[in-house]
Amino acid sequence: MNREASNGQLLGISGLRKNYGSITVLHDIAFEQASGESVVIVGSSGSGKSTLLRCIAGLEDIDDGTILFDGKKVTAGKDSRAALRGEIGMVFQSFNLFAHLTVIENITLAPRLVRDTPRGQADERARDLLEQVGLSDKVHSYPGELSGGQAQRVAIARALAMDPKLILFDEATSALDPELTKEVLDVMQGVIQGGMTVTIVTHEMNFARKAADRMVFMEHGRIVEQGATEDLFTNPRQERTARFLSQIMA
Amino acid sequence: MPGFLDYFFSVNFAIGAGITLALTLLSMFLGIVGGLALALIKTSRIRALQAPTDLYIWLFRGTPILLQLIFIFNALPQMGLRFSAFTSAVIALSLNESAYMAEIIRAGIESVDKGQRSAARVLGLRDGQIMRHVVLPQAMRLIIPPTGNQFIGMLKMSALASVIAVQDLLLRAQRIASANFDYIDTLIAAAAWYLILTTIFTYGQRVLERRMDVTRRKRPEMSAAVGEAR
Ligand SMILES: Nc1ncnc2c1ncn2[C@@H]1O[C@H](COP(=O)(O)OP(=O)(O)O)[C@@H](O)[C@H]1O
Ligand SMILES: [Mg+2]
Repeated sequence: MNREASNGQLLGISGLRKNYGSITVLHDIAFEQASGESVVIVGSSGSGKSTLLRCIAGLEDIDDGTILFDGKKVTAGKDSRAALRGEIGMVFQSFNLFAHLTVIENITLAPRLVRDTPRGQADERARDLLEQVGLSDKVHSYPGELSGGQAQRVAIARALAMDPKLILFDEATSALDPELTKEVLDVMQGVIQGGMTVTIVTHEMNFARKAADRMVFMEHGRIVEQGATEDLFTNPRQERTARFLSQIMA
Repeated sequence: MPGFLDYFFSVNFAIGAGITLALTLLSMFLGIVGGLALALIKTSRIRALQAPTDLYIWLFRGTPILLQLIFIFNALPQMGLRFSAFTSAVIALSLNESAYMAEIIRAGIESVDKGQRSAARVLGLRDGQIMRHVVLPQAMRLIIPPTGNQFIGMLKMSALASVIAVQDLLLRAQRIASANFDYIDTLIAAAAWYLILTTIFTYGQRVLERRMDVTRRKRPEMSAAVGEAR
């Protein structure tokens, strides 16, 4: 393996630039993440957080720089997807559960198609995961029959079913009513405690402070500051970071 | 002199109806396959095939089907391509149908939320798997109702094949009509056969749509749990 992987580094991004048309939405992003680390990305709306996660997930063509994941180059192309085979999971703000499939079918689809997991084994794993996220009674429900909080927990189980090495959470609770937010955050907390490497975009600062080893602050498509979560909260070096945090905590 | 019922129940008319039905089913089947292929190209990122596909759709939707039919039966032999009347009719009807089905299927595919594809891609599914297991099943909800209409339209449109001497229901009715000097009973008997076939198709369409409705009711607000917010 390469040197970085042996140091426990899982994700390494350097010089990443992303344009939409003539507008650059990510400028010269440099970012690293070690295996087992939990990182929270914060920043105001439009600062490029989702775009960064989508680039990491291989959902966007990038215009410059490299994204190395576990020693493999990530691009939006077929070859990259084939090489990763679902090793990076992603949980979306809008859940994106497959509408025509039941909960268990949602969870087993990728293991069966991508990993050739036998049906019985995939089903068994799905049931275990549903128990883990507290939805054992929803095995055969359709996404449309679930509350937002339940749907998001299924989406998390669906991501876990691929045994990814990294899970990206893009505002997983932003579409939820406040009373449903906690049940999803609790499940995310459980995933982190289970040792999963996670990169989380969220506006839930209390959760970030509790759950994240490291925090990244973005503004206008750039990483302004990053560091240990507690340091950033108590002692931000950049004025802009301090302003953002005091605004969002108010 | 035979009457309406004699014609209606005659072997001749029954065979004619069978040929009409065969023409319809074959042409629809090939039209759906062709339309699916065209729709997949139109929704893909294969640049080189976009213009030829547009040209095809423009051509077949922009000229009369009757002209296409006569062209294939009469003009192609002059270029050395000769098909039987029935084959010519199937070719013309399915080429024409492909152009319409392409638009129907494309609209269905495009109605499926982009987030569904994103989720499937991150999970590692290949493009073909995404289309087959995620996009097309959801597109069906929008594809099935207009396809039912196309079926019924095809059943009636297939009567055009009688102009190139395909022995379909209409041609047989016309031949007997002129032989017996009885246009009224023969044409009414043919109309009755067409009505029976279209009624069966309409009923099948309703059953299918109701099935889709049931699944929709089971999943009240699909968009609530599956949509992509940007
Ligand atoms: N598909 C797209 N096409 C064009 N512009 C986009 C697209 N997606 C995002 N953007 C723009 O990129 C910038 C960053 O967006 P995004 O990554 O969604 O920010 P955040 O997630 O931090 O709110 C915004 O200005 C947004 O308008
Ligand atoms: Mg966002």
